Amino acid sequence: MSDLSHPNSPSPTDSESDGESAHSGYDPTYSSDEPMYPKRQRLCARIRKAAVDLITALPESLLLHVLSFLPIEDAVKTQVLSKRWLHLWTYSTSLVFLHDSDKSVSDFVSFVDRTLVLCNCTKLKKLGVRFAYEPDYASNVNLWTMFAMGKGAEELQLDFENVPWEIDEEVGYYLLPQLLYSKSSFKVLQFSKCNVMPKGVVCWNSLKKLSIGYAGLSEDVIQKILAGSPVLEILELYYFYGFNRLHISNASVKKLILRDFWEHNEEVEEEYQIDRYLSMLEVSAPHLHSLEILGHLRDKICRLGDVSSLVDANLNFYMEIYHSYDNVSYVNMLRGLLQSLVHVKKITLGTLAIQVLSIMEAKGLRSPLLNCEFLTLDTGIWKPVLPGIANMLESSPNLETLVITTSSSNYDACFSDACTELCNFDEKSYWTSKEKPFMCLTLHLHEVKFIGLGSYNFDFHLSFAQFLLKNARVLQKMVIDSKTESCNWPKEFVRAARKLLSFPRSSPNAVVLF
Amino acid sequence: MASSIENNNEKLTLKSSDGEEFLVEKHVALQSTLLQNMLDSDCSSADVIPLPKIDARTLALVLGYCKKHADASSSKQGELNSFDSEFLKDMDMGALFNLVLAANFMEIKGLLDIAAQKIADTIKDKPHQEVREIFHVENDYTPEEEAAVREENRWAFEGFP
Repeated sequence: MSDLSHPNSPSPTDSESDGESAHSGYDPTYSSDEPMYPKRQRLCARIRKAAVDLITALPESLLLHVLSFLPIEDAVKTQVLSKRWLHLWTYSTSLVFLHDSDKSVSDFVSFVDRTLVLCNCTKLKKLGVRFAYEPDYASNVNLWTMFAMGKGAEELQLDFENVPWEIDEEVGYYLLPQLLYSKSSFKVLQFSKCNVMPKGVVCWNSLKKLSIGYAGLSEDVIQKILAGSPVLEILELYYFYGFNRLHISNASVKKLILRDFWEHNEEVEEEYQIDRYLSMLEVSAPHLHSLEILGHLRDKICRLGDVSSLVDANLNFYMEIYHSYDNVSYVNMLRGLLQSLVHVKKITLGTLAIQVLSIMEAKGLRSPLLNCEFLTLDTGIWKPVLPGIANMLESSPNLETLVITTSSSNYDACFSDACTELCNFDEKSYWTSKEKPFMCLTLHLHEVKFIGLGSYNFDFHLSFAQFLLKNARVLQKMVIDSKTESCNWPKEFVRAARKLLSFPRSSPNAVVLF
Repeated sequence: MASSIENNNEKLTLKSSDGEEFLVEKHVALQSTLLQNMLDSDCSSADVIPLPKIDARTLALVLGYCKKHADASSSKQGELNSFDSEFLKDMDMGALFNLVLAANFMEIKGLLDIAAQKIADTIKDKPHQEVREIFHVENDYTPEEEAAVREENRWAFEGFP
């Protein structure tokens, strides 16, 4: 028993000689004088023998690296493998605890408690916890957080799922300890369903990435955080509410992701649904390079202020639409957004934005002239989006690359009724009826990609591709990437491919790739 | 080999532990922090860079990885991800360990991580007897000692065979 309590505990820094001797032991090909191939059979036998304790031949630093990719339960269990492994896992610098719903929450909490007590690493890289938090465990989580701070952790992830007090977050959420805000070792922080309420000054001097979800955040709190995060590069907010203005003046912040706004006060909303007031969110960030507004915006109308450094904008969002014909606010919103993005080189639009563009097209409203060179349309191609696509092509004379991605939710109706009624055209001949070619087709468009093409509405894609091949004078390649689906409909795909290849091309250099 | 370096500054020659030489484009070699540092210092003037710890089979794999990642820097991340998972598929443990050692020595973080992840995935969720078999770990506990380890750490093993 005594040798178990005094193990030859591994040093966290790799002991060179140890790794070295083990190393030369397991791979005989390293003794280079020996000709390798003629003696293959004998060698194989030797390798097999040398392969005994193969993993143990890795130096400790590498074994720890392997352990850092294991769920913590599996890392802890490696102590029974052999004596060398008894204490190895306690030097792991990455501890990620994910609750498995088969086990009770209280078992999970005590598992985390015990594991952290045994932890021997001098400097922790990452502590991550994901479980269904209950207020009873506040003091445990406080200790874990303190532990991460004490070990100088670079990354802390508190991801509390299934909080049963979802609506009344004040009661059920974990309140981040005030000390956390003054700890400057953190580089990456992620909080989900936590109460983020700094009382004093925030001091996250090394923080590069911050992600907060399922939370109410006041403008004041956001400003405090931004003021205290001088090197922050990426800010991600998801399922959030509580502010109407987001102004980021930090020159370091290059990327902002706003995903899924939280519908707060749901009951009140329904009562006043008819003369509902759309609330506003205004974003300005003069140094931002990349902006993503994704997911469900509920009833938030977004507006952009100064985003003059932006090069990449993703507007793949959808919204609550109460009445398909009551679309003025949406049209104004999208026109405003595009107006703010006229200088942006790379734009991604989702199906809702494109359908709004269709309504604009039908009303004779052009999108502002854009500088866009790389356009991604995340939508299925069907009748309600055709005029919107035309509108975008017309407004993007510098377009070089066009990508059409068609993932599953891409046929969302959104404004399809209004679009169909406003746009009185025969969808079969929509593209062939376009007589005046778009400027981007004549001058710049050299690459077109269809990604994730399915059999659904395939003819729409085909006639759009036909139109592009016919009119894009400088096209170099058209890529049809349908890897996942093609196996399900080989016959139709071959038929379509044949047809596609037979279409006339106006660019002598254009190739079609599958 | 040496003459081709003089002719073309953009290439360099790497020599494996078993004496095989590989002519590599510079931008591919730069995936390795070790080689990058060597090139930044004066070592680049050497005709051949010996890699005494890495055999030819492993080095060929490593360079295949580097080439893909060097050439594909502008293309989609998804494409690289599927290359990575395809790259390690069906690879035996011996090759995987050699790869981890080589990636560590040559300081190629991406390769080190995917190879370590692959090893970790193999251990994951398996009872330790099986893990010992997979990795040929020799159990140097006496049965009493092993029982004691398990007993003292019962909290860690609950629910596991």
